[in-house]
Amino acid sequence: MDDASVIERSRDEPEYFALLFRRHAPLLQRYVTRRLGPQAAEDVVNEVFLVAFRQRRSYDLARTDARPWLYGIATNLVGRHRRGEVRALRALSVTGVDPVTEGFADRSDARVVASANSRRLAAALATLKAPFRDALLLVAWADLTYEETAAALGVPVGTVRSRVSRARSTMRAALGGVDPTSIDEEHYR
Amino acid sequence: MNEMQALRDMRSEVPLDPPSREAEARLVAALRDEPARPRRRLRGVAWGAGLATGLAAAVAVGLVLAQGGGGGPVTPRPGDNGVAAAPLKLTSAAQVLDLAASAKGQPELIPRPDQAIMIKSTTMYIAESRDYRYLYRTDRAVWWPAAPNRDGAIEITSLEPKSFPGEPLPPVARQGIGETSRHVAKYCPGRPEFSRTDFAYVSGLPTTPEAMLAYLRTAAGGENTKKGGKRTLDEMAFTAAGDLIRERYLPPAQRAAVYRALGSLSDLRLIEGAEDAAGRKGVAVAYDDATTGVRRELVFDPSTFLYLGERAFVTDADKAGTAVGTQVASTALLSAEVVDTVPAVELGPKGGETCG
Repeated sequence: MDDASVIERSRDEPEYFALLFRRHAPLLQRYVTRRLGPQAAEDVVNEVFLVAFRQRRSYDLARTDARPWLYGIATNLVGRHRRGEVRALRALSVTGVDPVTEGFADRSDARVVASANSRRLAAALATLKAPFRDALLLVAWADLTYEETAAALGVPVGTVRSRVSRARSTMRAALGGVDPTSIDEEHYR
Repeated sequence: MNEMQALRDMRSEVPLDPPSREAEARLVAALRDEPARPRRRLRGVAWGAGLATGLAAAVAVGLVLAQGGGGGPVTPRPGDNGVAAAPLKLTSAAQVLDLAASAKGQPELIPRPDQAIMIKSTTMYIAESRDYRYLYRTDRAVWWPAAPNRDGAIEITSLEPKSFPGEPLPPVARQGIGETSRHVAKYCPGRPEFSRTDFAYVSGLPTTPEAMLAYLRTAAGGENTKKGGKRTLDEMAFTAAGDLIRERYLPPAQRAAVYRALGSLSDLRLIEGAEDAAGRKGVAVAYDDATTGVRRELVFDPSTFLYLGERAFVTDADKAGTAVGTQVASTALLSAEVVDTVPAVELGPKGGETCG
């Protein structure tokens, strides 16, 4: 029974929708946690499934895999936490301590200092405009293909390609030691 | 390391945790509270039309209390540990079998006649003699040639045994733990059709639920038990279905037919919080086998409804010869794949032949 069949069935038998939750909530939860931290992530993931449930009648049943749809909804909801997301990225880049992952650190290490790479990437991610960060992280953290990312964001696949490519240039430059705030994105296209 | 790899490593310590039952229960409660059709929000309109504020407040409090108490009728289930709210409410064993019949996600195997299907599983069963009982555990790999009349192979690794509840583990139980032995699954003329494992045979089994049920009821024969009792058609069908899926690969059409055939049996039960021999959690379709005094369960993944394994528990102490609730079997089907060759088996002290 693929996702589309589950959604179709949930139109008359709402409880079937919980199957989508069982299938996709673990990965979705991890993705949103990596972006916002565990507290915000739990609320966002619950909200994703409620929003999706309300939209289930308009779901295109030809799309057998519901992940792009769910990640699209999640992206909109993550957008409401943009300031918090950027603040945490900045904190990570400046202090080396990541507010997002602090709770998952091995309890024996009182404080885990992030790798130099992570600190540089965090600084660069904080400078990206939201549509670029969304596209890049759907590919890198949610493992969506460019086509799936395009479906999730509701933009043409060419747009996703160019956003990811520009965002990657920013990441590459940051890893190479360039101060990301000094990067002219156009220069790296 | 390129930037994408560095990015994938960033915050990769965030674990992949399945959502809690509480989270699922909250979602299901919220789904129940959603209006069935967004257009017909009559209640909302009525309140909006200006009912007394006091009354509206009272109703609001009532709603909060109802949600706090679990939100409507709930079915407490084993393993819930007092958590009252029910997550996704699977309503019947037949529903689970229906979902299993249409389950997607298992790769379809189509071996050439010169190939074989290799299946891995893990099992736990009772070893019993006059002086002792214990539960022996094994990892198994079997190679079933695709074509009929050819020899297959079985590889068995002995795992740490478990003691029988309330009884000591006999020294013999620990002999050969960790050792692997191989056996020829010999093609023996005259063996019953039902025990055939070749793809040529299983891919020719019935594909409609009705024909499959007729096959399952009679295929294995043996309606007389050791103790002289007569087994019912349903008992035989459920047992035969277990034999067919435990350690064999069935093509999708036959697999669906088996599950739909079982769905037509009466007296099936749904058991949540089940677990297979590999420790995977699932939902079980259970059948009380009155003749042997054992409840047999087929365990399915709770979200994909692919088959995981089986369990068996004593329900009748006299008939089963041990206390009610004792687990007497546990298996897990781990993988099935097409392979080019059947491994050679050296016959000797460690190997043997069996009319697989």
